[in-house]
Amino acid sequence: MPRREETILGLSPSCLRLATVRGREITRLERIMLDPAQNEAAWSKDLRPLDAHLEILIRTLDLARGSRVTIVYHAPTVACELVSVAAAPAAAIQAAVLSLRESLAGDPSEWLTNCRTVHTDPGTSGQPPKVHVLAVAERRDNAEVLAAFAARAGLLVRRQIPAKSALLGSAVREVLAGASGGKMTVVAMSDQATIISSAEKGGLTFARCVDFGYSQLLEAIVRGSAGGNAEGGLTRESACGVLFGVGIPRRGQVIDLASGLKAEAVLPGMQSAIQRYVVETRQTLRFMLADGELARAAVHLSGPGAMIPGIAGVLMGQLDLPVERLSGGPDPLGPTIGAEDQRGDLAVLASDDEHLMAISPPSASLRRDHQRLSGMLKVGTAVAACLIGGDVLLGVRAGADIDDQQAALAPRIEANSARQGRIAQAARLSATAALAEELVLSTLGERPDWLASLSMLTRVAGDSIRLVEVSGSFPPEAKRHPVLMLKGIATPTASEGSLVQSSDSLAAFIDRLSKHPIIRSAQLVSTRSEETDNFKTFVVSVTLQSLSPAVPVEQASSMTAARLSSEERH
Amino acid sequence: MSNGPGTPKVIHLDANHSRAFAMRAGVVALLAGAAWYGLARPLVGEVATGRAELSAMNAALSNDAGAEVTEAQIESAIGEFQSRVDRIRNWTLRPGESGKLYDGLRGLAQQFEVRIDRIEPKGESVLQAGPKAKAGEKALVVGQSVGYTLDVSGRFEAVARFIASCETQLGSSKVISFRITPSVRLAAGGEPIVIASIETQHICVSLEPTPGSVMGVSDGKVAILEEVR
Repeated sequence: MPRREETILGLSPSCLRLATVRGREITRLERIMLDPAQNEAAWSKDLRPLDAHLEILIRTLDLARGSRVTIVYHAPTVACELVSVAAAPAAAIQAAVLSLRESLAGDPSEWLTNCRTVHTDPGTSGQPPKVHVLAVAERRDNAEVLAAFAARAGLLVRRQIPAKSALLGSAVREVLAGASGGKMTVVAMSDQATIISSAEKGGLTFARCVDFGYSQLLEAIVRGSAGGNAEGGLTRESACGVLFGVGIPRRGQVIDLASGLKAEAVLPGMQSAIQRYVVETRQTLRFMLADGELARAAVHLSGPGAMIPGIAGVLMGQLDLPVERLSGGPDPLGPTIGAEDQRGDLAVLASDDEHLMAISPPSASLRRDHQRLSGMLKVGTAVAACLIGGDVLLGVRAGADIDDQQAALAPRIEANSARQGRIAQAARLSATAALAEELVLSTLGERPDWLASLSMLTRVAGDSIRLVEVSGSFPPEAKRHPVLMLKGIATPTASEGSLVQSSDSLAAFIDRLSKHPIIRSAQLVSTRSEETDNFKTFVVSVTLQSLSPAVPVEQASSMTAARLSSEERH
Repeated sequence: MSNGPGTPKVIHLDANHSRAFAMRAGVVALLAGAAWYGLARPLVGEVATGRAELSAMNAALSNDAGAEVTEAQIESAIGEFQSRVDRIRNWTLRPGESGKLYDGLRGLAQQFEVRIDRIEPKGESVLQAGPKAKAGEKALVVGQSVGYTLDVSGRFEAVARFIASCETQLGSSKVISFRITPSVRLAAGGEPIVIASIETQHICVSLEPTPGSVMGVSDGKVAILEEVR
């Protein structure tokens, strides 16, 4: 899957570059040459003089506002140092931080720093390996100026990479790669910096960054063309073409046919710049290499400046050392010898993205924090809205579901309620009937058939028995059974020619009573003989059979009849 | 250089951003809370109430003790119980109608050619039907006992019939006691006359069903269902 296209902004005193990168390949590149003499002024004005140039580049590349950009820049306040310490990596980094802070001016809090181990030498017996730490520092306010510069153009800063640290790190990896099997010294020639480094058998001997580049040669051509016969001098673009097309000219050589500019006009300035290369290289090698190694040293040139025709020969003649371009040859994506690598420092970014050290200004981290917080707030708002909406939706659906179920159950509930009412009515009627029956029947108790009992007495008494008092009641001593108390007089009677005594008549009377079906028992309570006339007065207790009362079955009861008859009389 | 961190301008911007973010977060939280309180919470309450009502409905349906009893069975039972109540109502007097007994006794005396020499109410008493009603409940049945003391005279057979008919012709009545003795008077045809002193008791019942909580109904409901089944 192709990687997303990213934007790179390169800022140096001599050039403003804007490129798009996909993966490690620069797909589009535009640049505007700048006057290095205006660099200090531009920084002092917060880079506002460069706003128009950047707008032009953005329009040319048709970049959208809000594009994220990585800035590779040269600034006058960037400090970069390679610290080599024979210690553990963590201790080496601490040592690098201390070393860097000692070299910084002012309050350390005004600086942004970054440190990273770039190489660890192969260890030797008994001694810890040497750790090489790259440390970079930039003033906070300068970092903010750069971020604001990009922001004014509508770009969002992804990373800010000091070019010196990128070039130094790249040069270290280049010389270590070249010296994997032996010894190598490399002079990496950038337009604003030169890195002189040496390595032997996987170990880094030294690496030094000098704030001097081939832009000095370019300036010499520009100044020479302006001070010579050429009218108005060459533009920086034309001078760049001359530098990378003609290289270091010979005396008498016309270096620009259009203007007729001759080598004599530019050679003094160029010689001065070349002399600076020679002096820096020689002094560095002399101090950094061991005795005897200088004579055997061979210098390899790399970087965009190595493409300048004749530079190797000139340096070789003045250094008195073999000088050649790096054996690896030119970058396949870069120009061939005699042509300028317009990528400049951006080539480093394109080739080695992951090892670059970035400086992050506080505003960028603040912006990221705010963006993160805003994003979280939006997500939280959306989640809350979804939760509330979901809750409402679920509630509405649940409510509708419940309403449906209630509507479905309502007829059954109504029917059930009506039926429960009918059952309650039946229960109430049943209870009423039972209570009333129990009240009436228990109060009335057992009753005899008084009419049959009294009628029976007239039949059973006969001629010999004369009743003088008949009373009926339910005495407690008879356990509330109906009892007839008979008081009477028994008289002797003649039967079939013989006289029957009153006592016999009474006994026969009691016997008849006892045998009668409606009588439970008959007992003589008392008797008294009247001897004068052979009469006997007696009291007999007759316990009657009784029946349990019952509510009459017929609808029109006797009470109703009595009520009706009463009403008729009235 | 300007705009560097640590300068008042940068700090001011950061504080503004933080304050703005805090305000936005607060507003969002308030809006979310208000939306939940105004929209979701009432719905949740309504749903909870609806669920409770639905559960109650389901419970009422599943706990229907008389689910197996058919409407016809219930109607049949109501008809049967109603007829029992009607029979009792026809057989008895209401407590307010006790005065009609006087007329009833007079009517019986006239019917059986018995002369009432004296008739005197004996007093009234309230009868307790079933267990005592609890507070707030009304008794289904209110009973009252009414008594009379009568002195009657007539032929023995007529008096005997009068005594018997006091129990059979006056509804829920009972002859508590009587005493029959011969009279010195004679009837028109020369038949002997007896004098009877009679004590009667009459039960008056109020069966008016009262709406609302009625004593004994809930207990009787289960029995009724069993009876109906």
